[in-house]
Amino acid sequence: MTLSRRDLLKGAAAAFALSVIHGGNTTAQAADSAKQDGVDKWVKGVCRYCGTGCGVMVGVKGDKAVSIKGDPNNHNQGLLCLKGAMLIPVIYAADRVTHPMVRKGGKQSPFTQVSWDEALDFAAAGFKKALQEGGPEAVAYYGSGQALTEESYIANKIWKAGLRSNNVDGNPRLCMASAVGGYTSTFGKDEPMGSYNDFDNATCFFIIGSNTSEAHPVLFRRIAKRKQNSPEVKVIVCDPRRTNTSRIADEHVTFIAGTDLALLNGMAHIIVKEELDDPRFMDRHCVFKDNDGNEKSFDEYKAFLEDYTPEKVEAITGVPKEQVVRVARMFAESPNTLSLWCMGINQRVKGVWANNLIHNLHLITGQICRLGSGPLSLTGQPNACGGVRDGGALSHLLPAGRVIANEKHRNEIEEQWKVPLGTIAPKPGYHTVALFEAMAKGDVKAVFIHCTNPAHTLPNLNKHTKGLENCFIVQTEAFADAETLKYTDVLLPPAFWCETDGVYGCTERRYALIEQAIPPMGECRPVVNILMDFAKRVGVDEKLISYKNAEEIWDEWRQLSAKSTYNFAGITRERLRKESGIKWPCPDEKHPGTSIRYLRGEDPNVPLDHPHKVWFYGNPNGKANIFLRPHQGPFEPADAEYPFVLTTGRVIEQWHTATMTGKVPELQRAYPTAFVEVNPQDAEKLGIKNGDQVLLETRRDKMTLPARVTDTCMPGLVFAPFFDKNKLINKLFHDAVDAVSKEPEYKICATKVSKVG
Amino acid sequence: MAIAGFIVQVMPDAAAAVEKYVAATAELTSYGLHEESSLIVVADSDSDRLESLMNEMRQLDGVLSIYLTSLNTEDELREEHPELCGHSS
Repeated sequence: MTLSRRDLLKGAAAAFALSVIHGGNTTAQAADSAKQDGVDKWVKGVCRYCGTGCGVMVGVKGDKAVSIKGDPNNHNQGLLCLKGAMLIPVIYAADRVTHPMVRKGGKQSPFTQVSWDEALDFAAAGFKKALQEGGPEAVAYYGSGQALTEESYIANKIWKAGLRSNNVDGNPRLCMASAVGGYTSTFGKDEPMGSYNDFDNATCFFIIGSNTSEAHPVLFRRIAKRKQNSPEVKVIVCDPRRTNTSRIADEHVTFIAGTDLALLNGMAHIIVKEELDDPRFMDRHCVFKDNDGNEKSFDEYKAFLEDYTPEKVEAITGVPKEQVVRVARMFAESPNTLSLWCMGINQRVKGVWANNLIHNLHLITGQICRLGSGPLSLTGQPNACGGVRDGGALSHLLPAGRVIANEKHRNEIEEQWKVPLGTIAPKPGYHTVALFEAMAKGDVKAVFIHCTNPAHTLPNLNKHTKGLENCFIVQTEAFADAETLKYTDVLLPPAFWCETDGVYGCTERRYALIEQAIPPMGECRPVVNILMDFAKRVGVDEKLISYKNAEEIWDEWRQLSAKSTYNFAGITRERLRKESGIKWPCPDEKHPGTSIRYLRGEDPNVPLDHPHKVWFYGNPNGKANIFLRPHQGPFEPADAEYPFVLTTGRVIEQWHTATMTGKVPELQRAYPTAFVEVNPQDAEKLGIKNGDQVLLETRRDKMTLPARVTDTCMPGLVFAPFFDKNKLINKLFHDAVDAVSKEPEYKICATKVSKVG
Repeated sequence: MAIAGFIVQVMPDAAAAVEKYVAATAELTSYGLHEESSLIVVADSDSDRLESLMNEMRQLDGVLSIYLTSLNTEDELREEHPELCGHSS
């Protein structure tokens, strides 16, 4: 029998899938299988999409990427979702930006292809003019949780130390800032204590505000597999929508959007009242605090929770009181409960408080800092944690958990960056919404935008695109259909995924290397090179940015981290080339990485002779805060005039603004356009049928979308995804932000719903 | 033409019906059920068709999710971007 080449490739595909299930393949073996798989070599990397951080192997033939498979040695164990598996065609999209372009005659003029020198000189001239007219506060960098770590690190250094401007912010402000605020206020340090290892040991999954099945599909498989293999495992899904995630739920808790704080306090009420709490853990490791930071007693906390009896919670949330009791017991009585949440919790005006209340449940039950237990926020982008949160590339932050407002922190970074003390300005810069307001007012005059598409993603878009119209915009963007390019003055083509090397840091504090697999297309350049060249032309001291390559930037950042509890000095480039990711802290090259922070014997920051097994060293007193946070509703609840709640989010086959997934016909066909989900009861009242055009009207704008009549949404709630550039749903949303995190409330605004015609 | 290896995660009691569906679909080959809930499937089809094949499977009762483990699109890259592919197989 003769096997064709295709038969061999099919056999190889099946063998690899089998090895994924049985765990019989290592990265090295996978790399060695190149000949059998029909490629010259396999190059290790990380998926370009969500914050799961799946390891990938890119198959290269000649100097072209032709194939992809999951990295069997990374946490995803060789699995990829459809989006991740379809990354190769994105590299070769017809509208890749491959040459520098400038609008020489102002924003209304067309782009003209120019040389790199001309483009960078044009960009630098715009920034110099802004600096001359408005000083350091007149220039800004708006970055991304998709940028490589080295890119975010160097941009942060250029702006904060080189230009003395703290106007460094980015799209993680729109998705993860409330998680940061939650971890920081409760534990004193950002980032979760647990890891994906907890998925295989949890006996109860408490999922709230996360459609894991569509937003983090590979993690969803791990949950579903755990449940199928161990029937005693319980899954609680709290979500006003009945998504695919809820199909595996033992309890699907449907609550009125914006009432999650009452639900979480209601669960705490039951746990304390029924003595399912862990007084010993609380006594040793926690303090109670009110909103003003005043210490409270346990009895005062207990009295505070009296406002959240099951009856009262039912009245606020719409959740039957019996179910409130059931899920509270399930959470507390399970040997190991793992909480997972995402934008449904973070994108709220009380997002930080909601995060605190999830942490409370773990602290009062002691379900924390042990394998299978703990609060683990899921990240929306592949490097929001690593590059932006850890790297301190937000307007109030400095690297490794330091803050601008703290002089000691500023001095520590100034010393390590070898700049005079006092170089970093003491006042935090503009957070995202404030930045675009300042751009509209003319206070910020020039912005460098990297790897993000704010003209599509900002809330209350009609208001904030004025900022883009008013301002000199330099942008690195790989795809010509990005909405923001309408406002861009200088367009610089970046080397895309796999065309350069850099580190991504995902949800579980895991750093992994994306190795360069293929040369950059056209005239595209690595962004670190673009940033250094641009900065020199603006006048930044060359000594500050004299790196030969991205590896040197990583080495500086790695060594800088050693003077903090983030310490990942042991995660060398060489190790990252060999290993499929390492979780920090990791203080030396022999350290295996840390799966559980704050735990003696696991976290290298906890001395082995520490008297307690758990030490929350992020706070000066070594204890975590249990907050008395009262329920507060959304900024704009439904009312008589606007009687429905509009919420937004992702669909499985599209990602963010679809500048990447929209290039893949297979993905684009699955969700070619946006739609609005309407509950059948509401549809019947309004005379809406599947496919009818439906008008959504909010206080900002109105939009027509085709209807999907489905019981996914509860009555009174409608959902529209945000990927479609022809239906910029964020025009309808307000831009109210959380008082602490400054993250906008994308999840809730009031709307009218009617059938068109 | 693309070759995709994937794992179809099914509810165990629906596995037989899903496997039967795969066997009856020309572009799909089943490589068996593993660990009660993971069906290994390889598709050999146009990428155009691949998406609809997966969508159809996703609609089947008992299918929880579908995960790609590998995808080879070399032939399609050659067809769509001949300038990029100077190598013959």
